[in-house]
Amino acid sequence: MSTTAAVSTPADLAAGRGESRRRILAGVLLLYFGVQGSVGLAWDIFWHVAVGRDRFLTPPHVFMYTAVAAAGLISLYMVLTSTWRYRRGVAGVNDGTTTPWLRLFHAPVGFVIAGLGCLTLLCAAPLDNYWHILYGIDVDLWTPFHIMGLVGGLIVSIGIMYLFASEANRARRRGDTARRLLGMTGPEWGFCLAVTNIFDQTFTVALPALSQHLLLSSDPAVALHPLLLAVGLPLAFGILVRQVGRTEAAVVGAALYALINLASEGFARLGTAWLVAAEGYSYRPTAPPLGINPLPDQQVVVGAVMFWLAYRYFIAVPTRRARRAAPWVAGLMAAAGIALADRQWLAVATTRLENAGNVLMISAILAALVGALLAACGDGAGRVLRQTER
Amino acid sequence: MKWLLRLALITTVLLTPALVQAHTAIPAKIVDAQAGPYAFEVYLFADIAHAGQAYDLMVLPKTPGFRLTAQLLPAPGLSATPLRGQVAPDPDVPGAFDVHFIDVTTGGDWTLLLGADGPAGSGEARVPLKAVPPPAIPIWLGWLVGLIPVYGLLWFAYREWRRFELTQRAA
Repeated sequence: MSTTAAVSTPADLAAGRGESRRRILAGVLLLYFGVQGSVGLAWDIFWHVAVGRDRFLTPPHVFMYTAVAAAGLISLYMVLTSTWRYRRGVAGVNDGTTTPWLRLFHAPVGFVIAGLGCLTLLCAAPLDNYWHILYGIDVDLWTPFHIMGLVGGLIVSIGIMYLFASEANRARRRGDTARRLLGMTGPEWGFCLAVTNIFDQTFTVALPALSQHLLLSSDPAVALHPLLLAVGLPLAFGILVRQVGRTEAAVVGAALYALINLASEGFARLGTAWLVAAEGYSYRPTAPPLGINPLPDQQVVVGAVMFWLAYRYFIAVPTRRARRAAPWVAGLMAAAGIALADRQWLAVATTRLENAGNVLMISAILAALVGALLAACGDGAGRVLRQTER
Repeated sequence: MKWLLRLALITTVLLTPALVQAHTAIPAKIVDAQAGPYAFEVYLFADIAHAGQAYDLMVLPKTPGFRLTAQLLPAPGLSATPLRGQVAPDPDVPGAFDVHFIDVTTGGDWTLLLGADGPAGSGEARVPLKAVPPPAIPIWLGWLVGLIPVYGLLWFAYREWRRFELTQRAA
């Protein structure tokens, strides 16, 4: 059994790099299937609304669950082969670079987590089907097994985050940071891409707050959608900035998400239009138009820019207190900006509430407080991810 | 040799119910229907459908020479989309159609809509059908199970934070 070895000799460095390449390759594949799963989810939501659901294996479900199955198999492969390599004493695979699990396996913790996330998704699928059988296809998104599936997807992305964070940390420790693109190394880009799933899950979970659950409370009237965004988005910003070590990482993550989201929305509509024509489906009477909003979920970019600017300002102040306050203040500013830029909520609310604008402004204050707290939590999570190499 | 005979006997006994059911099934209900100029009998192999499972029926024309389409339409207020049936000629009964619905998606009242289109004209026949859902678990139990990954995530976050704090103290 291998023990922890300090990476000091050229042979150790070479072994470490070789192991890193292997893990990064698997991580890139996981990232691809993660994005496919996210695109599939966007397509599934659109398909439900536009076409309906006449079976479990609708085209978006097939698209999504093949990604889940592939990601699960990749994770399983990496856990099994890493365990085998650990037991054989392969250089670079030791107690410092793997995590013991169930007293049987020794593997990078990222693959273990990602695999468990895929397992969660596969368990949620039949349970969600059961729930639809009981309650119909237009159940609220906030049902037990929808949430189970969404959390499963989040767990997969946390696994991928751990994977790339570990590789980024190992590369920093080895001094392998010469190759950068726009100031970030390859693993740091992979980490940013993985974090975009937090944005995706946040917007998805918040969807019912644009229709059935517009208000958290009616007296006083508090908008729910900006509050939910204030939970996930500043959390992700805090994680990005702390782990990557650059304030711009928040904006990079938001920009990546905006691109993926635009592509997802376009794919969902094109795929639906093509299949409806090819397979002879019919649209539901309540089907939305096929046009794409060119700036879907623009709040994430607004929030990221405000986070970045506030953070930069505070860490430039040469006092420890200011630097400690940076994630809190940045989260507060970002969440307030996200709430005030929430045109989606405003568009729906103005048709139902008299003073929608005032409600949004008041909700922005509450969202700012929530955002401050979650950004600080994200900062803490980023610190944990900054030091992992497992 | 004796073990082979025993194996053959056991296999035959186990398979016989399936063989008997495979297409010589006795229908639970036979409905006379008229779709425009075409008359036919609808053989329902189960008079109620089970939500979440497939549903099969056979259509035996009295007036031949038409093309059949089949749909299951949800009753007004039922949260479901219309289901398209797969129609194919019956391999055993000349002139008859087998209709297969992959999945009756939810419990409730449905209408089987059979469309006939041929040289003599076209028309539709409607046959009511009820789908029974499986037993429902309490909603609180659903949430208890559905939030299992959340409990796991919170436990993992706590564990990681503790590990981080210990590392920081050691450093």
